[in-house]
Amino acid sequence: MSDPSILVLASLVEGDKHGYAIMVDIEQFAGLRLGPGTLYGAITRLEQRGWIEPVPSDDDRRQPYALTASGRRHLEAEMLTLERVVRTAARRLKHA
Amino acid sequence: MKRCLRWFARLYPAAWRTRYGWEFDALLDDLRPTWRDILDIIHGAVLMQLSTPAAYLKLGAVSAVLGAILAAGYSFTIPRRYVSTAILRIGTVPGFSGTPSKWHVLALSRLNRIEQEILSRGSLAEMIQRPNLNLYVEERKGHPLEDIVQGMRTHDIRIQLVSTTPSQDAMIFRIDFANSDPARAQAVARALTEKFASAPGLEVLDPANLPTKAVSPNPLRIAVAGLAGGFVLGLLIAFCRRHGLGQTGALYLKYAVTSGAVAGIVSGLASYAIPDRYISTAVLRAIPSDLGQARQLDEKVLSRTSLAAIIQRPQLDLYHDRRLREPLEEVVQQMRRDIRIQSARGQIPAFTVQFEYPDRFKAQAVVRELVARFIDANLAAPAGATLEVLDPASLPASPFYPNRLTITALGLAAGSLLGFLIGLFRARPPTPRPPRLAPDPSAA
Repeated sequence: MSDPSILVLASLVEGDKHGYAIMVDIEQFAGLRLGPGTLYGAITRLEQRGWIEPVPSDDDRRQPYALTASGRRHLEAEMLTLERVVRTAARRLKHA
Repeated sequence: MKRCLRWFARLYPAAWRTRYGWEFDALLDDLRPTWRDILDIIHGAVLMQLSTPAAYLKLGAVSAVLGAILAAGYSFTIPRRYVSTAILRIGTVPGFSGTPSKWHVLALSRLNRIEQEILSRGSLAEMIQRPNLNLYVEERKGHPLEDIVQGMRTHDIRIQLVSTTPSQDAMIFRIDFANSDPARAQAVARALTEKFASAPGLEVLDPANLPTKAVSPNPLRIAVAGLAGGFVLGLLIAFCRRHGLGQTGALYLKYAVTSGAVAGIVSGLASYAIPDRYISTAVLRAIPSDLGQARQLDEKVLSRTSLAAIIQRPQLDLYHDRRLREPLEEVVQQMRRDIRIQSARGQIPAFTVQFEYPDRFKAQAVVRELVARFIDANLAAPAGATLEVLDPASLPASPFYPNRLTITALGLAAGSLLGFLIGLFRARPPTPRPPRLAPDPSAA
């Protein structure tokens, strides 16, 4: 759940965001503050895999990123797996 | 703080900085930095550096520098050793009229004899305990004097021939003594020199000096070793990371460490089941140096009758259990194996008599008895050399066997290897499978 790549993808589902906006968003929805090194490590990997891409912006310093179609598919697959794990764990906890 | 973050951001690879540097700087401008961010940036930069094609070289270089710094730091924790040196001269014997080569042999033999006396257990023990020298104070608290004397003789004192004078009428030799205290090194070298110089025909050419520079450790050499070791380790880590061996390697390491620790503890404990064995030693000298003739006495002293009498002496009662099981002939053979008679230190005309036994007092008593029998046999010989006891039978304070530290270390090494092999066969990395979602049972 705390995989920085998944958190960045989850943040970008809502819309294009630059680095600091991603960091603030993740802190709000996951309660987790990614350090700058961790965040840009994840952004670099995700861009190399083609799951996110830079988009043009008026701001000449801040670079926003958008989720690509393959990035969305990857996130959906990950979410399904996570959902199944969460559901199974919740059911087992109920019967334990 | 932000300046600090920007400075550490320079640790990222140049190619990465070209692509992401400006937006990363913008992020650093926006956030409220904490100390954890500095560590996070360093961690991120290191990981990014390791993903570049030059990772081998970079990691090797960083690791080599760290290794050199650590090794140099370690070298300062090693106690310094200072060596004080004195130069002596042994001249011709008055009235000697032989050839230079004959004189050479005679002088060498004489030097050996003096050396033997000065380095005898009694002489060195007296020097160690002399109040004005007070040597090896810390070592003496934890080790028997016998071991301290042996250590002093083999590690700290060095006597060696330097040259023969051009006229072939004198030999020059040097005495070195090493100690962690330069003043003490000089004092002991001086005391040894005085002992040598008291013999006729010997004179001091150069008295014991006060060493100013330590001979060991050599911090430069240790740092270079650390540099090389660090570089190799860096290459290894880079190789493991590049080939994805990190996780698998950690698993093998876990097996090896666990197995090694268990085997080390078990072998260490098992070593206490092995009975201790002690060795008592005496040194005998033949004058004149007809060692061959003196050693011929072995046959008499080690004869069946002689050893059987020692074995069955009521005060000693040696090999009690063995004698109940085996004939006396076998027990005598075993005793012969436990007795060691050998020439002491090459050319020196002396020999040691040793006996190995589980009871240290009995070991000493047997050596005393053997020495007495050597002297008796020598007196009875028609033209025997004079036998002199240079060192009487010692009372061993610590067992020579089993060496529990070595046994534990061997157990540790064997266990680690075994653990690694088990890891290799049992913990193979799972074969990668294409990702597939299993059907959700709750959906049915």
